Amino acid sequence: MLSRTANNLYWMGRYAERIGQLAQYVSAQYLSSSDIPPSLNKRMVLESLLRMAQASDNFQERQLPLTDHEVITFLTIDEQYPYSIRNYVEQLRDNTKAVRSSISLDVWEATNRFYHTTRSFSTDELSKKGPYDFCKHCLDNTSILKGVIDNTLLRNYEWSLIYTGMHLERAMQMIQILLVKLEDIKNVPNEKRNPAINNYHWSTLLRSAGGLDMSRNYYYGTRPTRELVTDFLVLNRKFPKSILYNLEKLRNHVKIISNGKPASPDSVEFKIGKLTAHTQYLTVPEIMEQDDTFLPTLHHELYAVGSELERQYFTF
Amino acid sequence: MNNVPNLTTLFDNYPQNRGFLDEVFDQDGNVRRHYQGIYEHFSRLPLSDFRDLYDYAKKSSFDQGITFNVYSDSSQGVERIFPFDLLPRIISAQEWKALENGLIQRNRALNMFLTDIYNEKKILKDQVVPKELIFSCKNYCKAMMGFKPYGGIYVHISGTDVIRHKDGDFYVLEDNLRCPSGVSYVLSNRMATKRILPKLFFNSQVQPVVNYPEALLDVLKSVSPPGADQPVCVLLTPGVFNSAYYEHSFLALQMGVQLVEPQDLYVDNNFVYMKTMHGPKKVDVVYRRIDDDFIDPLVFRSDSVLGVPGIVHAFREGNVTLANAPGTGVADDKAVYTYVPDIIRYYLSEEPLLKNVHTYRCEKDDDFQYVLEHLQELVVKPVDESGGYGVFIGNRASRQELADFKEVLKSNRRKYIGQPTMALSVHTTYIEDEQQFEPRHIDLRTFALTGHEIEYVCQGGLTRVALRRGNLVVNSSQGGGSKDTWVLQEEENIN
Repeated sequence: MLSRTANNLYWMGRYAERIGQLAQYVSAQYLSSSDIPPSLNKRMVLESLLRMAQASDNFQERQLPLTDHEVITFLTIDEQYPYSIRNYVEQLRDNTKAVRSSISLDVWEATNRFYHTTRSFSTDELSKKGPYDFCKHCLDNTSILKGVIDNTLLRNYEWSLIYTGMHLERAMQMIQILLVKLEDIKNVPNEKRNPAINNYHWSTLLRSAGGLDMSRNYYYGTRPTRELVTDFLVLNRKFPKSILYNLEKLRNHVKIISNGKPASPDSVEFKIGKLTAHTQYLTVPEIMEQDDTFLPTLHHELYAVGSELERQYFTF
Repeated sequence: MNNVPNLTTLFDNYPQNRGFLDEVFDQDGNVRRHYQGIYEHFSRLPLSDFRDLYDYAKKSSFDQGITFNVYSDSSQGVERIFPFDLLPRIISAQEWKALENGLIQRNRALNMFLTDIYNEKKILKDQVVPKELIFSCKNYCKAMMGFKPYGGIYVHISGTDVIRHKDGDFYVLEDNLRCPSGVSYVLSNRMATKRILPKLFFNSQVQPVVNYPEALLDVLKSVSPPGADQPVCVLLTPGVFNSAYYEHSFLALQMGVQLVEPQDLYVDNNFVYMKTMHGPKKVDVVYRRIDDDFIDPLVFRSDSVLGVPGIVHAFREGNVTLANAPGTGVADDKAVYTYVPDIIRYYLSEEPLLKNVHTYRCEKDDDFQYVLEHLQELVVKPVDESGGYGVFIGNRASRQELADFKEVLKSNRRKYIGQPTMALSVHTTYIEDEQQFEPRHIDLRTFALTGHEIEYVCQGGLTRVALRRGNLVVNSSQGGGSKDTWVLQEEENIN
């Protein structure tokens, strides 16, 4: 396969995943703001949302008022902001277009339809209906796209490259929202801390990760705590969005891409293998001990994996 | 039930056009025999159902991404669909057979002509075609001199445009021997008809077009350099921003070959390789959809960022096949066109089966005089352009425009030819703005393939429709639409 095609397939996976994650937490955060305990400021919800999307600086630069309408519009359908969902959908389509001859027509048509329907959402509609409708549209369409990918593509390099992008992106997004939430909690002044607030934060976090209902089921309804959330979002092998789950999948897909070549210590296969093995044998208390360093280090390592993939396979 | 208006009401005000041949209705306004089935089918459709189908057809094109970008001041690239008319154009088996034979004959002769003018130049020495005409042609490619591609085939893919005149005969309007496009519309129009009018299609006996990509791959493989056991064929596209990118990716997918951009290829030691994620892979045949000028900066335009440096030399060394070969543009030059009947007679000792439109060559004094005197009745075209650009239509020009154009002609006589305004046949077409069926002018782009011991003509083609009333220019870049084109099977096969 062409290096250029490999690169486009990988970014198809990354963008499809990023769109789904963004839509998931925009919607979850926004809806959660109505459940907010009275002592918390709604401003916090919007700031937290901007940080999750790594959009705080860009939003400030535009000098827009920090209102729910402005923040939501900015993150979802803003035409000028290059990292809005709308523009990610365009990127997704551009990448898919560039590999049309390597994928099924069904995958292309699903992407193309997604693109056209996304562009038809207007600011008026968004302010009238709120973000739910738009986010649901994006979640549904990324699910359809993933379904079509699964149902029609051969299990070869194309498929593995798309999934390499998806799993890497998902692991990184998961780290990002965990980091933001931990900071939110840290920022609650001591005098205001109470179980209701913690409960709100952990539930919102699980909902933003798209795992609230399944975590309730898994832990028999136990109220979420930091330990429980760490166990579920970092180490759970059954939850498809947990960091460990995605690292293990990532390792398998990269192995397929490497075409059975032995992994030398400077290769990306080696790096991912080491990272995965290390995470596999971590415990929740160990992670809690490395309070401030665990997530940022992992985030950093995954960035390095991305650049290494690019160097090894996507540039010739 | 009887109160529901049906489609016949849309035919009520259908104008009879005396000046042109109507493909659907005869001179007395009766539906022609091979259109009767389809006419009855449409007539029974309730009007609202028809409009639903029409919208469905548009949506289907949109979802498939059969769109092209229109750039304007207010927006950067609005996507438009290439309008597709639900009423197919039908060609009888007998008419088609004659057309097909004519196309094969023409391609055979043109390939022999190209071999000759790049090698022995017998036809020039025998003064059948003037050598000044060939050597002054900007598409004559010096890099091809003294070289015969494998199998003596220069034009593997040709897209000849034909029209039907009011005398009922097909005429060749022009040959397209460089990178003719449009075949993906033939295939997607057929797909749309099958999706939208399944019953009608099921009950009609129509020749398939779906085998075109297979035939194309067979042709490409047949001309791969000898020795390549499992030849690797690729389709070379300028990239996603090219207006025909949809077609490039569609054909690559249908053939199961890699779609490559110039930066994906490189030449090493006169062999062509593509850059894959696991290292270089040798390429044997390149179906290139990049014009000569841009394919190799070492041979053609050195400022081209699109090309693959060294690919033409690799071709001359016999290590890779380019389809079509560089330099085929000299044979679809509109001044050379006028000699095609002579070219056929010269190489094949046969009479041409297809008619040419009579053409006046401005470089010839008599013809030039005629063109100046009759400019108002003529269509004047630059000899080396395509896509309907630069065409001057005499009967639509003002007095001032006529005078101005005469000056343009005088300044570069070699560049222009004149042809009588042909009475392109018309076809019943649904016009959305009028909510009516109206006659519109049509032509037909055919697609023929030539490989090593393979001659193939796509059993159909792209019927292009000039959607503006009275307009004779059918190009998609000039506001045209298209129709599915049905070639009927022989009568005895029907029963």
